[in-house]
Amino acid sequence: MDCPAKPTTSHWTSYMIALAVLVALGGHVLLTLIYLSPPNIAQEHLGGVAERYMKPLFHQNWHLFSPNPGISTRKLAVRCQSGEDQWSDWFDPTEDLIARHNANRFSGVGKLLYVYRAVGDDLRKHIEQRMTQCQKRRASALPEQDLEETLDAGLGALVTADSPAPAADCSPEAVMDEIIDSPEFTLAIRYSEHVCLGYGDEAGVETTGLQFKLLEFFPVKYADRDAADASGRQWDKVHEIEFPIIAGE
Amino acid sequence: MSAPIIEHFSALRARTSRCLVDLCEQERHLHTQRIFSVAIYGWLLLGTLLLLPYYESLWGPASLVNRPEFEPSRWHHWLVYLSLHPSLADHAWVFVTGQLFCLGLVLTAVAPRLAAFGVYFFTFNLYHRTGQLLDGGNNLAILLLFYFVFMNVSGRATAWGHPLVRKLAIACSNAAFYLCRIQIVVVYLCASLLKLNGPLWQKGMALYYILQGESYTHPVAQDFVVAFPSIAMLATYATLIFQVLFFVLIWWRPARPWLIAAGVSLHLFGIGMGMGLLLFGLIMCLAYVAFLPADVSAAIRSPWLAASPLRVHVPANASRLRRALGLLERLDLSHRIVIETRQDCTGLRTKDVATGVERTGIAGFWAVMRRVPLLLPLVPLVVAAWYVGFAQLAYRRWLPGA
Repeated sequence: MDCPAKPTTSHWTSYMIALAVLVALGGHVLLTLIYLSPPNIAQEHLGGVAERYMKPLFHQNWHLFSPNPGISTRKLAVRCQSGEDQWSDWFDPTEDLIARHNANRFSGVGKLLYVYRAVGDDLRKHIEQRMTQCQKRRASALPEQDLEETLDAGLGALVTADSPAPAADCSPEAVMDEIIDSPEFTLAIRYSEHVCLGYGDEAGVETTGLQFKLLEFFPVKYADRDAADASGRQWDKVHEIEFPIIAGE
Repeated sequence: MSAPIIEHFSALRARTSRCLVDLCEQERHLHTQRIFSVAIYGWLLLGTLLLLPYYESLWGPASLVNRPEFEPSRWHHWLVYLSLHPSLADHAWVFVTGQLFCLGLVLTAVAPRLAAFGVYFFTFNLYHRTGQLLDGGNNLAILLLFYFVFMNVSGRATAWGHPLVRKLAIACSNAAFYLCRIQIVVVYLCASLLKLNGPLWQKGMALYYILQGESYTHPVAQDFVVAFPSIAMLATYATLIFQVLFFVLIWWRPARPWLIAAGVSLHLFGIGMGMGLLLFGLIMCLAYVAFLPADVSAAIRSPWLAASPLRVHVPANASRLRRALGLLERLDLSHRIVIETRQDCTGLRTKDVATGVERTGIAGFWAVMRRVPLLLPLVPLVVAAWYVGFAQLAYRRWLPGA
């Protein structure tokens, strides 16, 4: 049997470099795994370090439609006013873009839709935050036995046509004043102004106002699909939050 | 005779030390690294070009997005959030142009390490300018771009003079390449574990509901899942099984081609075309290039590497000619131009190694230019300049000694 070759000086340099690089690689992978893992002992101890290391340059999120994919479709519907009281029908400003995206996936419109959808999505998230804050405020003022019940109502407090709000005091209407002051609401106004621009031009009158509402469509449940087919129903339910009319400048 | 454990231990020790030395001295995946980086940079180029027509809506100052504020007290804002700096609010074009320029450099292997950093810097800044545009594909891209900064993406062996620096560069390059592979596997590991915890995925109903919405679907897919819910259920479980198996089986070479074929079908047709997440689907398909074995990558690149090299002899005193030829050599992606500076040479002389055809002067220079595919668009211009005599004049005047 051959004796293993004695390491040369050049080999020692290689060992040192390789070990240093492997330590860096291992450390990076370890912190990545800790950062991405669900709550556990390692995260409890090193979670802070992992977050400080990962957040600036290596932040990653691989939820990718999991654990629960978003199954609802959200839209910001707009209507425009021209002249004294001429309102358009409610319409979805992204309808044409969706048609273009479906016709040609290479049009680049898909990413543009991300931006326009984010207007409604961010507004909805902001409403949820305000409602949660409102519920916490009210819960802290409630007697002990009512606290659990109120928190259980949670975000189900979105007002729907078929289910009256369980926590009516924290409905979107109740927190509307707080919503109106937010940058999300201001952006939704800018978006609506953008789509209403030139709406009254054909009739030779100015656009005098606009209004938008947030719609959320939920697909028909698998168990109810036969009944839905028979009735021609496309959606299981539709949540709707209507915002005040914005007068033109 | 020593005990088997001693023999096994010394074999393990020898193997470990060989691996450590190899990490610093062998660039085993040079071709895979080049093909992989070209694929990802090409994807980035496609993404930016597709979005350029919507520049104002996506990156312009009046675009419909709420942008976070630039925070001067945080160090990383000076590196990757610079596009949000108030003085650059109206100048997103700087980042778009910078990204495209650096992509041009790195794709042509001109100053690849510096260009790779440039691509990372401009792309990350551009991403932070409009975060609403980003999806998992962009997230993966930015991580890979960071690793590419340390990886040899030129397709040529590292040739740094000092042995210590060379070893360090090779070790970093190898580590960065393995990190790319690990990162891709981490994506599947996280996505599959999270999906296994989702009730809709467990019940096989995830695709049935996702494709019924309007955000990630196509009218054909929408109708299909309603008409054939059982196929949607099968597809949901198939996706789940694929993702769970991926992070284990991808390391086993016999399973790799099958796994990649399944992944391409899922990402390109299911996610890219069906769900409309084209760029995400594409980058996931291109990510599989990182798992190409070294011999397969070498075979893919061989037509470019082997085809008819051109030997060029340049006189030592013609410094301007040497610089011009050096530039052409850098633009030569297939590395078929071999330049040699000769003291005994009186003018430019080229020789096609395969055919033995020799050329001198402007004809030789033209032969060099023809080896650079990037210059193909300029061919009509050069031919017109030669026809009217301007090319010959310019050659004699600007390249003395040629």
